Amino acid sequence: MTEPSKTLIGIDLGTTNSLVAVFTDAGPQLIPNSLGEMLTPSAVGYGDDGALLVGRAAKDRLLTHPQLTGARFKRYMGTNHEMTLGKKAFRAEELSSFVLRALRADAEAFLGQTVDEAVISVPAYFNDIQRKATITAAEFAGLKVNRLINEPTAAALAYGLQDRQGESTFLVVDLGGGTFDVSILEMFSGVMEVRASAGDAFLGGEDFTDALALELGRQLGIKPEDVSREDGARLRALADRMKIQLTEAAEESADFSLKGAARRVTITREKFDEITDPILKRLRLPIQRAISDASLRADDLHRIITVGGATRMHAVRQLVTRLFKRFPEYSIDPDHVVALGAAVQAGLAARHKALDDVVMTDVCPFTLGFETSIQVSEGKYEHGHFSPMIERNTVVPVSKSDIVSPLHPNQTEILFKIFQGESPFVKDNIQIGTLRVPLKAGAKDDKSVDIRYTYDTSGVLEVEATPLASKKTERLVIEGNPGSLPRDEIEKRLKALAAIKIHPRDQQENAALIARMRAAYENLLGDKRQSVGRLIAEFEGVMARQDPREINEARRNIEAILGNFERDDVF
Amino acid sequence: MSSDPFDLLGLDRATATEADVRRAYAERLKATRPEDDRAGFMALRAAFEHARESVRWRGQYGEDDPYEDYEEEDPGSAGAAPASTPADDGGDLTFAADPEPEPDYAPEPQDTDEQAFEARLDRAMDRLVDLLTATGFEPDLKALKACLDDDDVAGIDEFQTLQWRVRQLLCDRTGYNLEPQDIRRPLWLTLDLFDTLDQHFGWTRQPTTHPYVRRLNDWLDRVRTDIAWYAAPQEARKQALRKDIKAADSEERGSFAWLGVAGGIIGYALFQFFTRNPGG
Repeated sequence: MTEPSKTLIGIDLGTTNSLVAVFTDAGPQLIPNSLGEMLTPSAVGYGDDGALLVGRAAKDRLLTHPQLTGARFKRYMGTNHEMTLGKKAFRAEELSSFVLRALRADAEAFLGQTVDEAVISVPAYFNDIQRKATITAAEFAGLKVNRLINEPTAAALAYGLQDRQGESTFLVVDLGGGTFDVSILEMFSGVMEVRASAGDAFLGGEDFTDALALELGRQLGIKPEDVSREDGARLRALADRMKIQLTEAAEESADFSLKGAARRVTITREKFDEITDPILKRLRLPIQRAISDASLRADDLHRIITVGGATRMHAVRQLVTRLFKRFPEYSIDPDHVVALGAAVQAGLAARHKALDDVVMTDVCPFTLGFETSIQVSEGKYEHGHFSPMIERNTVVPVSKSDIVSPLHPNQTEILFKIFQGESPFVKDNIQIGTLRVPLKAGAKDDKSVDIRYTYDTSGVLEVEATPLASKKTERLVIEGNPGSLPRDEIEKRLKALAAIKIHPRDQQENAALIARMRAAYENLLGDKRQSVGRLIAEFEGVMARQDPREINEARRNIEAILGNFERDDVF
Repeated sequence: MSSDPFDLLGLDRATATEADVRRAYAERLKATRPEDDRAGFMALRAAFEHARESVRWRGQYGEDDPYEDYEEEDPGSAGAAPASTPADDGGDLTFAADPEPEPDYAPEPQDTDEQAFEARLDRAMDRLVDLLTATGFEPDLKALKACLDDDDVAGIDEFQTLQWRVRQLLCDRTGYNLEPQDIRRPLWLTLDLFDTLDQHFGWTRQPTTHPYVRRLNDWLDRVRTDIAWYAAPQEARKQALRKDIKAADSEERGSFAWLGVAGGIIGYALFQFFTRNPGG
């Protein structure tokens, strides 16, 4: 039993936006950020004073200060890719940790108590390295990860809670900003069971935006590599806005200011569908695979649920409708549902009494195994074969073991290469680590090794190997594996991060407003541009006088004026 | 811990239905949550899966299930498997126990629906076969794509069945069913055509857990390598062959070199031996 004072939060750490929620007696509830908004953009950047800004302010500064700002870093989770903000290079774990820290502060302000433990959602198709990177990001933010939950599973939890005693099978199609997941779940007597998961870790709404930005650039006669970072960022922001508008309208046009002149761009929904068709085609295979893995037909599915902001796109809905011959459901806001589900899992973990009749079991979406050699003839071996230990879609937690013998009787060690993937050849799979097991030297010793894979509920793998002769167990050590941080490096970076100054939470609103005005200034032309320039000067003057009441009032006035400007189509 | 899955679930092996198994599992699961009691959960889960297979088997074949001598599947029970166990083995048991092993199984739809479904697929297959053969060995890829994207076969069930049938056709025509298997290259099967179909159905890129399907897909992968080889320009093939032969040659020469070195050492030793011990 946990003490009643301890509160777990649920976090949806997204490519584009992040959210935080908590489980209360009234069910899962979203927590607003300091701007009063539920969605905190996953963007981080240095402000003018050298302090770090997170969220809306940073997102707006992407347009005006692209050199100092970063976004979409979730795509680099589990890689060594670094993003440079100003003079300092950051890993995706570090940038994500700033977002997590901001969400944690929002939750603490909302709940009036400290929070140090969380359930964090990850794409079901995140591999082991990406999952461990997410746990490291949380550690950088001072959060203990109670559990990682797969995003489509979280969504299903949020939906399943509405009808918890029913029996049903449902499909969740989750297209987020950067990742795509499909899961099939079954519910009976309060048990929610994932039957199959499939996906693509590098496919999301951002790809549709990129395609549209390319098309707009073509209309303007510019290529992304030819324009300044500022113009490129503005073009992309325009593409993002037009993409969203196309979910309502059949045609959209806007003015893009290029070298001081307004240039008109137009896009119809047909054209948009045409340029994004190759991306859309990639959505079909994971859906097909999940259905085939679960051995189901379309009729067996009681509900089809779409999750993630990108499923608002017309073409995506149409694809799902065509495949299943009925309209998908989205009664819970597709941007909110994963965070709500993560909060339900947090409630489950904290033993909330409202949830004592609900249990959820998940599966591992990949096959896990190791490299082996196959004897092709006497004394001749073919290397590079993949031997599965835990098959895809096995219910977790799971622990499996096997006895392995070395190729040669004189071997003094076995090097296990741990792989994840579905191909029978390791070259087509992902290596997630190596394990070196020393063997007793004597030729008469038993050289067999007991190798055990344990996969926990967070989808994190532990590998142990025990030589039968020595009974000394070795645990998986990641040896110079691309994309993961060794322990001592984590400690070092943790210290370095503590020294970074973060913009105070109670001044986020002002910072966000200034960033927004600057972005508007860049986008507007002529008189309007000058009025925004005056507003900025005026607001900075008010800020200097440090009277909170006056600042609040000025902020409200300016927001109203900006709202009017931004409604115009000049961008 | 009981070794019988039905005991663990508190059920009677002879009378339990699948619904009973699920209910018993759900009840016990609430007291044995995966995050609290890992070992307990794994044992419960194994019992549930085995019991479910058993009742399904009984429902299907009306006889005693093959899991009568159920043993706990855990540490080392597999015995000393050499590091060379092929990937596909071991999956066969669950595969055979599956009520209907083909991917397009399902509860029977109503007759008229089923007939309409079959008719749509037959139409699509006819169109495809026409396209594959009627274009004078120069396939019209655009028409082929249009045919694959047709509304008739846009649904997920139609898609699955169509991909199953097209794969069977391809496998059969390329020699999968020959005894012994031997790759055949029908004239109409160009590399572009193969890739268009493969891209649409995802055979070689979307791996599967069904062992039989995996064998078919692996076969298609081999077929593709073969077609790609013959589709490559003459010069490229010549270069590849040359490289291949040269690699084998240097390997050979490498081992001769070692023989030479070893011979030299032995010769030197003999020489030393004879010079130091002049006979008698």
